[in-house]
Amino acid sequence: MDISLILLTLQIAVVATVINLPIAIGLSWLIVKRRVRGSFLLDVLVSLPLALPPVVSGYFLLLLLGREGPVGSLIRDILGVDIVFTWVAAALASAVVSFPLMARGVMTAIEGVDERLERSARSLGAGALRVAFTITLPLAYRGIMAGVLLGFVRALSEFGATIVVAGNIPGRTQTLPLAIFEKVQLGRDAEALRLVGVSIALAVATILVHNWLLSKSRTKD
Amino acid sequence: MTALFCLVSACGGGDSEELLIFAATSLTNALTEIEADYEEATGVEARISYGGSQALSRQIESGAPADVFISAGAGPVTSLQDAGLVAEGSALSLLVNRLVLVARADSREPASLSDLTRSDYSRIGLADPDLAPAGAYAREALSHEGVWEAIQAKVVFGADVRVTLTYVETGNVDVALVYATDAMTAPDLSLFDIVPDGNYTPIVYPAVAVSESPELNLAKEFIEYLRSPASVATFRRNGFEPSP
Repeated sequence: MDISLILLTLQIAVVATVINLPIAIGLSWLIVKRRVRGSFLLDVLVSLPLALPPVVSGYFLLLLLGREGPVGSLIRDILGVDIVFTWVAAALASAVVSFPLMARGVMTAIEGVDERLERSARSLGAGALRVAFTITLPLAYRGIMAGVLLGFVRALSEFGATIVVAGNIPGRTQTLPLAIFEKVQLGRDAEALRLVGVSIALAVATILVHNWLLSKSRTKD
Repeated sequence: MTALFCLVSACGGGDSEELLIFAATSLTNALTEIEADYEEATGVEARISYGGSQALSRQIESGAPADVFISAGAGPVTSLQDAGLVAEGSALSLLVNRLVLVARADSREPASLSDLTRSDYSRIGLADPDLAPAGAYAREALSHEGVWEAIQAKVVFGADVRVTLTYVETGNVDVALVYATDAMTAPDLSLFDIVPDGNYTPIVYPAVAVSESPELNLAKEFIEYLRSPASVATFRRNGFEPSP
């Protein structure tokens, strides 16, 4: 019971993180390297879910992905399935809510790469993609990973958006925070505390790795 | 990685049949027992998602893949019915819950609801009638008894029945009106069955099969199983009465 609960929680957080990473890198590149027009608006958009109550993000997703929603009805027409109240919806909720933390980390890491190195590479004939993959991303690697882990740890603890768009279905959408909520509500304190222990262990492990990566990337500078 | 994901998230294609039940939180203890019996008897895997009945009903309306819905109170089922989501002929009234008075073991025994006006009881806990149906039922029962106005100044509202129960357990109120089923979960408290049934609207728990369920027959069989003598005994043990 606990094992499948932990695996499902990890699965949802991992998928959320994997969805977010390319988007975070792409947006960071547009904002801090290309400095495209409207960067400041993109910047606000990136951080918005951090500033909003998660239940708002969840409600927005429900409107978007629900049966009547533009995306939900499209997917229903094409694939004949509902997204809401599945683990995919839980992963998307976690992705939206954890995105700002990851993106801000990634942005800082990419911004920190010395532009002279990138310019030199370009002057030696490397294209934009080549510069990104051989200079920028490798140099920003640890900072990016730190951002990834911060997003991951937020995804692990997602609650507010998840319960709105994915419900609380054991074995399908019930993650650790939702299971803890349920136990507390029912006054099953011993079970709740055991799950709290698991939650703390997962969070501490992730934060330790995050801090270790960050200290490494600082000593390299 | 994908294989692992499928293991835990039921990507489909599993051998055993599966049933998803949405049920009111107050049913948790009883249904957890019945779920185990049912799985053993039928080999069907039952998953139960517990929550506030109104919230669960809204989730089903937004596309949650529930096969069976068991609600506390008729309201949430009515809204599903209006949305055409209740399978025809599947709705039945399953259980009845009742209001009881709970008090700390050391407190004075009340003989009737009108005793609550006495000064022995300085604080009376109720669930907030605006937030929780239990509170609305309690207000109805007290008004019917003609004591609602008289005890106004002594009433302390809890956000829900559970919180109200905690107020009594921690000694922050002298007595409280709660569901019999919640009172059963607090063995340290004294339970007084002094709220006349005729004082308030019957608290029924309807069970329905959801019309969009791909397992409609299984869903109806599960509802039948809830009416079996063994299930009824479990419900009784947890403070419910089978609906007449």
